[in-house]
Amino acid sequence: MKTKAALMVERNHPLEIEEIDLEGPHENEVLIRFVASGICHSDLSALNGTIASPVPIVLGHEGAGIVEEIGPGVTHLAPGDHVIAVLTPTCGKCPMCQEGKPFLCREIGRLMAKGTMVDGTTRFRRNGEGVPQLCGVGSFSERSVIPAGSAIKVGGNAPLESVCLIGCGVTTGVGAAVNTAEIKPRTSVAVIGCGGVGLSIIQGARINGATTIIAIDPVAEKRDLALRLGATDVIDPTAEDPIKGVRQRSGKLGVHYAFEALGRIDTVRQAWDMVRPTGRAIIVGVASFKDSFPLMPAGLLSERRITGSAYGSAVPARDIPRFVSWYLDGRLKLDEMITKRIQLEDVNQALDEMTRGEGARSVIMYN
Amino acid sequence: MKAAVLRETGQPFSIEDIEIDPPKENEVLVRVVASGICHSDYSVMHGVLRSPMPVVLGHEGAGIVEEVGPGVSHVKAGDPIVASLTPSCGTCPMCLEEKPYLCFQFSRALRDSAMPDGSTRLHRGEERIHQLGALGSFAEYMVIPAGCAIKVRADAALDTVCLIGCGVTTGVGAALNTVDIEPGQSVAVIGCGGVGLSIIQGARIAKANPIVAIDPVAEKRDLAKSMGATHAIDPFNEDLVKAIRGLTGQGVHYAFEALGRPETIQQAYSIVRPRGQAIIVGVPNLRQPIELPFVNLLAEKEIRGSAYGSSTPKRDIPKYVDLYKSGELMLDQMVTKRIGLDEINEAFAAMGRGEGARTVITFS
Repeated sequence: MKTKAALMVERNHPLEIEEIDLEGPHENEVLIRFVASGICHSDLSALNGTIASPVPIVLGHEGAGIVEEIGPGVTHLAPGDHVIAVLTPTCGKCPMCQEGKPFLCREIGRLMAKGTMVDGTTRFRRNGEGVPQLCGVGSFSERSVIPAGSAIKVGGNAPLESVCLIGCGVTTGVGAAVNTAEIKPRTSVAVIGCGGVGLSIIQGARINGATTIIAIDPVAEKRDLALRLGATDVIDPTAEDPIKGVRQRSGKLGVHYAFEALGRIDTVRQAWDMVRPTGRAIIVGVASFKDSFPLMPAGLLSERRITGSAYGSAVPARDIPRFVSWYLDGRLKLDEMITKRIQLEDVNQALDEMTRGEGARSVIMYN
Repeated sequence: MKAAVLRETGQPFSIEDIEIDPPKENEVLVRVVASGICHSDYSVMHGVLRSPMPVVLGHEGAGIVEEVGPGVSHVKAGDPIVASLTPSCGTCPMCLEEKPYLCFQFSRALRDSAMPDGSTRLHRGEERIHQLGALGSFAEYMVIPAGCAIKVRADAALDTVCLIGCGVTTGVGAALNTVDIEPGQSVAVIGCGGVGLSIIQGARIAKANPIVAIDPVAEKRDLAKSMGATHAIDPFNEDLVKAIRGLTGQGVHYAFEALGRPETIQQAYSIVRPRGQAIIVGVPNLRQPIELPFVNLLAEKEIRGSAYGSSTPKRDIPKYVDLYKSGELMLDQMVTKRIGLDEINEAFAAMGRGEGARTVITFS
């Protein structure tokens, strides 16, 4: 079949909108007709090379849609089901899946690096050549074939044009707060970077009962949004030293949890300097895999901890329906995070805006 | 009284006759029976850790209470005590959170080598002499904060249980308090001196398996095996990451670093499995940042510090003495030799060469 898709054909160049070929699902795969796809910062990172990925590739990895066809062996889904595409195929065979930690599934790395199906082949074709798809999803396309484990069924009452954000940014952020950090009630939290992921961390902190939630972002619009979504304090790091600012707002000692949602080495270091004795710095942002980060050893003496959070330590079959229910009962605010809804043809403009740090989240709508 | 005084970084101790003042309010005068020599003493001597000078080092002491100052009710003259590193002031924010191992007075005492009020009880004529960590056990007597004096059972041999004052509590506590090892989880320990051997024993008590001891000195690897290590690796002879992978598949659940060196901290972080933890127990040079690979964060690998074994001394020190008496905690085997105060410089030289686990100074 044919599908309209936005492809990166060259790094740092605008995506090409083209009709390309799509093969039907193989064993343990499903064909999805996407209803909506968020544009996530990792799409930009793939485009500018921060995240290594093949070229050409169909970008987009934060999609929700309707199952059109299932491949052999798929029993948990049927055509017509509403699904959110997730980043881990939950292969079920690797050591981490067997320990119940599918957010560290061995296949994620391959899907990220190669953009193929689990068997290493591709379903998209352009001029006869196979084209991979980001994270095995490729939601900048009207239709895509994805690993069956990456399709999580949600109720028919969940509006796909909003809950699509749960596919990546929201699960990454909320999960970092409620799964990785297991934030305790009445604690203090700082969040560096208030894009889609940072705002989701703030919401997870609010949902878990943190009482001091400090949002740090240079963009006034994002700080305002952070306040509406649960932040109790904001810091403009261009106007105030963020480390001092956090200490002033957290009883001098620093915060129990500092989250970094940018993937920048300087802010990783800031997060470490913001936490109190025995506090935790949780790095959610993704830097280049080749980067190193400096650790100032003094913090070790006060038993500080630093760790990463991979896809919000999420178990998708458990967490995606849970986060959808939080949206439906009003605890998790998604519509407020969506800056605008656009057509696939407008994707380059949205990526440019993201490069400039404007807005939280654009969502592509398919008709 | 006789004391080993360090007057200048990098120089040997001089054995001097100095004066000690009586205990003030909330202080205790202790006749030192024995003191272990710990690697942190060595770090101060060589300037890796800083202290005002002149200073009496030694912070792993045990002895008998001679006299108590006003306001002290939990010990009395004649009581055997092990000196804890933390005064557990009971009023600072961290003590109020029941984390006396991060007591504000503790860090101040280490920084200033003085009592919590900033003064010291040691002098030689007009010259003020500092006492490491508000202790100073390389001397016949010491005046210490009352909270540092932890009473122990009368049948505990002080020339052995003195090790519980620092190294043993730091190591055993890192395994039993800082982290929550489940039976059957894998542990690696880099550096098998007094602290590392104590971590290994804590891991054994927690029923970890395997327990991999990593040290270039054959004698220490053998000692580690006799204390609970199931495997030993010479890191100069074998590729550490490969060897650990061979034993555990994905890496260890917990990698403890007991040396405080940047390269071994990096090693510890490199041998943990996804979601595993590297626990830094050794005290690093605070001025030198440690470069770590970002990719480890993507696998949710954690790096964290352990301070004084996350211990609550009045709970843990008597507990470790009990574990020693019941045979579960092997301390006698950790004492390489016992010496007089006059032999202290030779013992420090041997430590510089990486020899032996623990030397204990005894006072007659």
